[in-house]
Amino acid sequence: MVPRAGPARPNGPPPGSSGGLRRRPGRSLAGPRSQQGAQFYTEEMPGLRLSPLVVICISIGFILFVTVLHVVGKVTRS
Amino acid sequence: MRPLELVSPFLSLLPDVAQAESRQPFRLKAIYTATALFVFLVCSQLPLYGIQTNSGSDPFYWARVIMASNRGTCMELGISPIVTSGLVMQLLAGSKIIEVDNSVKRDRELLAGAQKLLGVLITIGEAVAYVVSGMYGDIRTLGATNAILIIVQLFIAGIIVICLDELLQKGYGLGSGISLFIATNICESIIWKAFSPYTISSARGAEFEGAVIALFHLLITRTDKTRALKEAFYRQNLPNIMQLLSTIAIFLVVIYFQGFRVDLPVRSKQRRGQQQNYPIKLFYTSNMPIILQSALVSNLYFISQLLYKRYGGNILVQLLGRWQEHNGQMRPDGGLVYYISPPTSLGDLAANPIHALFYIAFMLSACALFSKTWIEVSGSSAHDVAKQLRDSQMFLQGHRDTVQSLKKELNRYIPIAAAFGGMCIGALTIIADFMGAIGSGTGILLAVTIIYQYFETYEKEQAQGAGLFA
Repeated sequence: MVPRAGPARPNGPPPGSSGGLRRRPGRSLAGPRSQQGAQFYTEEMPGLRLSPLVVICISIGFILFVTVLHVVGKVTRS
Repeated sequence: MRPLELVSPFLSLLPDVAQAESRQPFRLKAIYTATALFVFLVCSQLPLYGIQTNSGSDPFYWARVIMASNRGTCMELGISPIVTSGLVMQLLAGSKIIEVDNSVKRDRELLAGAQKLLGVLITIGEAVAYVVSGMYGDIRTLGATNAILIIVQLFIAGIIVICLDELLQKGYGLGSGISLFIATNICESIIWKAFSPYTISSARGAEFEGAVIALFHLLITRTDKTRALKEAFYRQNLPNIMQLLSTIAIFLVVIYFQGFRVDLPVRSKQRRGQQQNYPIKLFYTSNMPIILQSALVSNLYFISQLLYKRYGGNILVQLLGRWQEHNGQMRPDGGLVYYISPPTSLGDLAANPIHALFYIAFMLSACALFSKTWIEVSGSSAHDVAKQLRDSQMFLQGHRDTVQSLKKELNRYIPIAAAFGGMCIGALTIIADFMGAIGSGTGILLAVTIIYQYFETYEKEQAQGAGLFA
């Protein structure tokens, strides 16, 4: 099951708020975002929407493309 | 008009991974993470098409491990564009050149967009600089087609890294691409140095490169067992057991320090009588200070080396840095970059104490400063945390229930934790460097903090009832 591109975060809490905190009473709270590690592009953007499958397809396509380039290069040179 | 608004026309052109609509099951996350890692590993073995030479001194040998890059492959740039753009945006936001209000959605969008746009631009810039500077062979013998092909390959690979990083962060994977790739690269080099089966012929006959394998090999083949042990522990030219042991020691020390924290007692307004703890860790900003510090240093090295090659005679360029070749690698030999580079050995430390002192001072202050500005940029400053707690109806025990008083109380801990934690991370890095830990002090520190983060993430996922086979 792969989620399609859709409206931004329909259910999740907005970043910065901690909606997640409320769900886990009685336990130690999650720290702020910086403690979860390196996070650079964390915001929604109105950009060229890609679904995760597309990203993986592009990466594999790129790997194939470079491999084909190597093969073609070998064949034409010899 | 604000400078940040200049980004908005480009927003629609940038690739953007959709936010996960619901919580993904742990297994799916693990699969996505593994796939991303697989793509990264293949790309860092796949040679670029069209390059001619790959020999000569590598101007980035010191940054390869940290930047998760691999020479002559599609991962030539690694994560350096992402990290550099993050660094630049942080410096801009920290110096108030661009103003960002973390509570306004539009601002966050623009900041993220600006960062990504800058990342893409840096990718193109670095790709062109690599080809033009002749790292893959003289541009005239390379030909226009090949030159363009190389740039295109580097560019697409850069975009893919950005997308994979985003994919992991937007709820489909564990952690972030940056940390995953760095940790993999460092662990790979540590395992390799410990168990490498390569033999290298030295003056004392053939020796194994891997420290552990060499230990057994020497113990079995040599007749004088004490000499063999000494050799395995202290050999200078190849990885030795002492280095391996100090790596493990640093690993344990960092894990131990990770547990240091201040627990602030908070109460919920909705559930009266229930007390919770809000932890403020000593390593509040985790490994961010060293990531940013190494991004700064490696960019300085790069610029200084380029300038020194072209305009070595200029006095300003010489002040920035002089370079000399040692064993086929360019090493800083004078100027500013020399003083911010780690001393190469204990002998070097004794011979040049000013260098060592300056290096320590630079490391500590840079880490503390980066750590302090990072909390502002990443939305984890006292102000942001106070708002967060307030939004979720929490208040500090024994204090008035206003954002102001929350902020005042948090301000007693968070900036100190950030600055002091950053300094501790810097100090540990220096110690690791002096002890000769495998994969450089910065590398081992990054690896440990990242592995610890993954461990925490895993525990959290487990606690939320999503086991590996749920």
